[in-house]
Amino acid sequence: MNKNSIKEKIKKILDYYEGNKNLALIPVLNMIQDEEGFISDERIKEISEILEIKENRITETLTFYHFLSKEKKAKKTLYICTNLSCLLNGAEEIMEFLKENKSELNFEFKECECIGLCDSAPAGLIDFKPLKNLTIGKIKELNEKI
Amino acid sequence: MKKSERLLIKKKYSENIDDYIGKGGFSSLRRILENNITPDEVIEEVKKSGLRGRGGAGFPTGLKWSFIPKKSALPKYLVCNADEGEPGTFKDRDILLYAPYLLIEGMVIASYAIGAEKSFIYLRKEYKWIYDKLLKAIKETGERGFLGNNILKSGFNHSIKIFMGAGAYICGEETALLESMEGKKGFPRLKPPYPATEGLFGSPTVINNVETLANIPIIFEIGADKYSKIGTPKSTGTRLIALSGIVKRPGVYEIEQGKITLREIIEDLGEGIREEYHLAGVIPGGISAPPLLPDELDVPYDYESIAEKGSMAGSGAIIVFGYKEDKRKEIFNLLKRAVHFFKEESCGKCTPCREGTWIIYNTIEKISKREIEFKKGIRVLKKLPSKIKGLSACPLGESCAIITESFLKKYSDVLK
Repeated sequence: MNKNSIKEKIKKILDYYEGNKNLALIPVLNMIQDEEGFISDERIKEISEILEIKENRITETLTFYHFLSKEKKAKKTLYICTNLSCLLNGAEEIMEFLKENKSELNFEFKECECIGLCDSAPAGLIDFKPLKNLTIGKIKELNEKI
Repeated sequence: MKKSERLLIKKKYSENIDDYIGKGGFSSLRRILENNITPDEVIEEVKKSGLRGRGGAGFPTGLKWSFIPKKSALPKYLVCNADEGEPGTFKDRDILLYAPYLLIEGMVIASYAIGAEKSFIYLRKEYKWIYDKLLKAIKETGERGFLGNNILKSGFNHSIKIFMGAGAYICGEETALLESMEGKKGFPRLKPPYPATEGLFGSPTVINNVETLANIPIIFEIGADKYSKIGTPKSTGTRLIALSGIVKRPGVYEIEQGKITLREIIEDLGEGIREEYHLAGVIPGGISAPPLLPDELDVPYDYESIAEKGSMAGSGAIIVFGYKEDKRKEIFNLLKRAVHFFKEESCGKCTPCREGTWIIYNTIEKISKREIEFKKGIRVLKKLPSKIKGLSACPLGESCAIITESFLKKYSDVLK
């Protein structure tokens, strides 16, 4: 995404939060993460200029949260919950399959904590959309679609 | 067989605003504003209802509201905590999805009671897929005149904005949540000061759970007297419970507090245990709650009864668990996963929690990898919880200690 449209989007978020720059920080980081898949040093600089928050403070905040990252990834990330209810419903088998077939996957995968889909366990998220009652078959299907 | 019933909250499930209004929606707000019921009277009514916070701690809601100073130089805020991250908890999700107008009405009434013109919904990033729907519900409510300036010509102004988190369990803790909203990492604050006096950006702030707020319009619809007679004297009203694990029919169920036992919840609502599993126990209120054994399940589900059994009803997350073949290995594996959660989610502020959760996890891992002999490892593990308990700003580290301690105690037949 080009620099100007990111700037516009940051300003839109800032408007939504009635000009409160600190309040807008995490929503801005979320937006860039979702748009670009990571948050670059260049973006941190831009955010810092617009929100008047020091760069090192932005980095401090963003490195704290699971779903914000400074690391550029080539592929999408599939989050697989392995917490208790998912574990009791086969999340380990899903993780094993993913690990064994890592080289053939069109996405990256990461174990995550409870995503509030325990009634459809094992569950995951891709693009922050729910994947319910996961099976190895569903993983294969997903791999073809991506 | 006890059927899953639509008692109070589920009766109000409506995904479109006309349907909600048709079910009497916004009539509580209307009655309060049009009859000039004062904020103090609203707080008194909520106190009288006996409503307690549904996020986990069970603190009386009316009392929490009454801590907000009447006069304040800074604006006051209400924050709806929609960051349910306690493993096994997914009941607020259903309110956000199926009863957003009920939540919004509750938020406006609560804000009127404490004198807040602005409120926020702190939505966990894991629920990003609900964001647009919620935003639409807020917009529609404004179009009907129940949000915005001079609501129902009362002179009361109110706006609701959504704030989405970025993935951190600790931000469900109310002061960490406020730090997060201020653009910082989610480090819990030392209390006092409590948020009621110094909350969001130093302003007096009430933080209430989604389900707590969804109960507010119901209290004013049926009256606090009637509401307080539902459930037990100390645990009034209904609760949405999130049932999962090895039951045949997991899901969100509404129960009257104290009127159904854990065993009935599993057998009648969950339709029993899946054939491949042997029941080993139940975590009755999220993984910070000690497990109850199969012979301890004839206990009514309410705050006091569960506490009497040495556990807690917490966030209403009931995880039913068991083993297939190797009880020792499988139970130990569940403990390992529970501890892994606390280790991952410790924010790092307080040393006993940051280091303690890692040490417990590493010990468990060494035992599973047979780097330490099992018996000896368990002996080491037993000594660790007391080194963590009561030494941190929030209960996260303590919860890790409690789940470790309670698993070792309850399953001492295999974990020895």
